[in-house]
Amino acid sequence: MSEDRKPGCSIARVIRYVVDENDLDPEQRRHLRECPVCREELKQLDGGLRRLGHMAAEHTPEPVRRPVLPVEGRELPHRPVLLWRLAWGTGLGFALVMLIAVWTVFQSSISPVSYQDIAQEMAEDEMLLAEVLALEENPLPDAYREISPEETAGIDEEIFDFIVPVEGWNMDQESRTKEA
Amino acid sequence: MRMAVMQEGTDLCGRVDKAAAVRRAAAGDREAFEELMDAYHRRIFAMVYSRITSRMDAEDITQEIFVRAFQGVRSLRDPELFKPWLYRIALNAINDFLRKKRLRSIFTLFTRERDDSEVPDPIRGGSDYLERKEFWTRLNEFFSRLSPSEREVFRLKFLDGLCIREIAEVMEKNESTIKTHLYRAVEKFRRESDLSGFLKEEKA
Repeated sequence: MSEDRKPGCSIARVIRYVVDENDLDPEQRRHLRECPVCREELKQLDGGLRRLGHMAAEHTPEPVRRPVLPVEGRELPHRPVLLWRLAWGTGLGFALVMLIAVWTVFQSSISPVSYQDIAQEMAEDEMLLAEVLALEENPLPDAYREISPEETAGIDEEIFDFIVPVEGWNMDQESRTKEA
Repeated sequence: MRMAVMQEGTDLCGRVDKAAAVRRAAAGDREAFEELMDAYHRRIFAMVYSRITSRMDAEDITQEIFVRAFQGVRSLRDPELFKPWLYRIALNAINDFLRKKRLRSIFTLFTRERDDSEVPDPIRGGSDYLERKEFWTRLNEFFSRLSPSEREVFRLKFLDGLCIREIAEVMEKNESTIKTHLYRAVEKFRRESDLSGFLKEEKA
């Protein structure tokens, strides 16, 4: 196509004319009719497009079957298609939900945050176990530990009797005094 | 969308149309719809074929389009808009088919896809079949360089022969948007020296 245009020529105008000739004002249309360059451009472009349309028609085979309309009152042929679509849609939706659920579980099981949680839980378990073992060894509170048998092992019984006399001992002393 | 203002018995482009038959079909007249089907059958088939280039599939889709139209014609408010309405049904049916085809292609990824596009016509010969295949391959190569909107308006205008107003109705867009897409598509067509050369060869 010619690119050697006059100052008043415009390929955009030629295209606008091809798309819709009513888009151009009478002056522009007159220019397209009279200018040999624009006329040639228009002839080439319009001719090419028309040729394309004709060739498309030529290269289209003739239909063999005539469409058949559904008989009134009978089930329409597109209904099963709708049911199939519905079934497919439901199945696909269910599969998606399952996929998301599995993915979420998988993601949470391999995430680094869950390792930290597990480590913390293990540390807490160990502390609890140590506390339980300590209580098993001596369940008394700290204040009573000093007088507990385990803590005072090895000290003579008489010293305790002297510090805290037993009740039976006092009764013996009183009865002896009365007899005398 | 704006209401069409036109003379009795003409379509959106001012051409004589089957407005009376549309009115009768909209009122439930089956024979009137059959008349419309005879008038539009070949055009709709050609429209479908140009987009999927498979004769068997085009026959099936054309059947589905007319069944859908038959079921919905009573709800057509403006009988003068029958033609763009029918083409819109056709476009939706084609898009549904292409979506399903894409879905099928996912499942048949590792199997060789059957080339069931067409068998050579025994009467017109194999060379005719090859020419046809070559033509649509070249044209589809050109279409692949257009955006979906440009491609669709270009096809509707230059292959299906619809006017701007009808295309606007089919695509449910305003006319200036349609024209913008068309300008871009025609500009790309003009720059496509391969396609222009191919068209000249065919003419010779």
